[in-house]
Amino acid sequence: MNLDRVVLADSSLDMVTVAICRTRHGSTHTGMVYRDFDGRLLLFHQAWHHETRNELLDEARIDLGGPFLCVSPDIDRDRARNLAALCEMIAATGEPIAYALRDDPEALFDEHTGRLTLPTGKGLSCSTFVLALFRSARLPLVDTTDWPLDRPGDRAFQELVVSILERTGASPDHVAAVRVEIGCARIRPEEVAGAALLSVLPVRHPSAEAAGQVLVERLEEGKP
Amino acid sequence: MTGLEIGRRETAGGTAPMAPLTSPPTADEDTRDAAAFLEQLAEHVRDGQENSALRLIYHSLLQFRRAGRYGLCDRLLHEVNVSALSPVLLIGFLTMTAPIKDRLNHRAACYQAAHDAIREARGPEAARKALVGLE
Repeated sequence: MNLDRVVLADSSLDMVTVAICRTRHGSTHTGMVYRDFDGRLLLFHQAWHHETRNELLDEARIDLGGPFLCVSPDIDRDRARNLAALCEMIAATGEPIAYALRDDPEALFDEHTGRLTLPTGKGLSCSTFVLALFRSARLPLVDTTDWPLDRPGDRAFQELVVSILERTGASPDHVAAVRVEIGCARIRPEEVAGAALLSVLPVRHPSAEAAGQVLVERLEEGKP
Repeated sequence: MTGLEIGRRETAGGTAPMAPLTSPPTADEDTRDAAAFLEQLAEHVRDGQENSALRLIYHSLLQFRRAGRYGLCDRLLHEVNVSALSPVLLIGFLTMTAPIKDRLNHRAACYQAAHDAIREARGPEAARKALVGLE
């Protein structure tokens, strides 16, 4: 684990980093920070149900409200530029993606359209959104095989998400489909960002969880 | 001509995106569009406009894929001058053609040429890291 890769979200950021922040609501959140072809830093993230945002990093940070760090994954610099280009291409489709709990390990941005395909899933969380981006670049970040179920706090979080989906106008069919997913493996935002601290990809559970814990501590301290 | 214009077809109302085609593209159309793409790519490379070149690769290859023009994609992989392109542009070609590699006869040779070029410039470990997953 290389903690030198944890950096503040400022103008010196690399082409691609994985963001980890604590929102004003107290939960952690992740997304992809990338430089577009014009050199602007953007946060591309699954903010909520049908709210897939591609926004200027500075504005997004203010909106999210809490401490915000970035992790530079240990990937080749030219590969990172291509991952950024892929993010820009996918963001340009403007597709609003549904929110769901369960990871679809085959979620990909489609070869023909740049739009999301979910062979078995109902949508993406902020975490699985980042995983789908890396997977689409042929750089799988996390291997969710044997990810633990029902860790402390996971079920309560998932139930909360479903109740908010219901309150905020998601269709009854979608709410019902996501409710069925409660109890599934939860890949936490800090574990996705934590995986980017490690050199051998894809990262599996115990390593990602440990790295995620380190990032949560850094967030609490408010420094890289 | 911009990257997005490459491969557009003239219609009675002006230009239109290639996809969807009402009839399969002819070999002549592939030849014409490949030449236009490669010429523009070479121009960006000559001018040192690497970002523009990368944008061209992503935008154009996405259009070609959307239109199902695999023959054109394959032709580009066959005809592109690998030795003239930087690693970032070679990775762009390979990233954008990876999802359809089973349909592309010339991709394996292009991958090998790109691998050899990057290995020559940066060494074997850097080549492995740059191209991992793009075989």
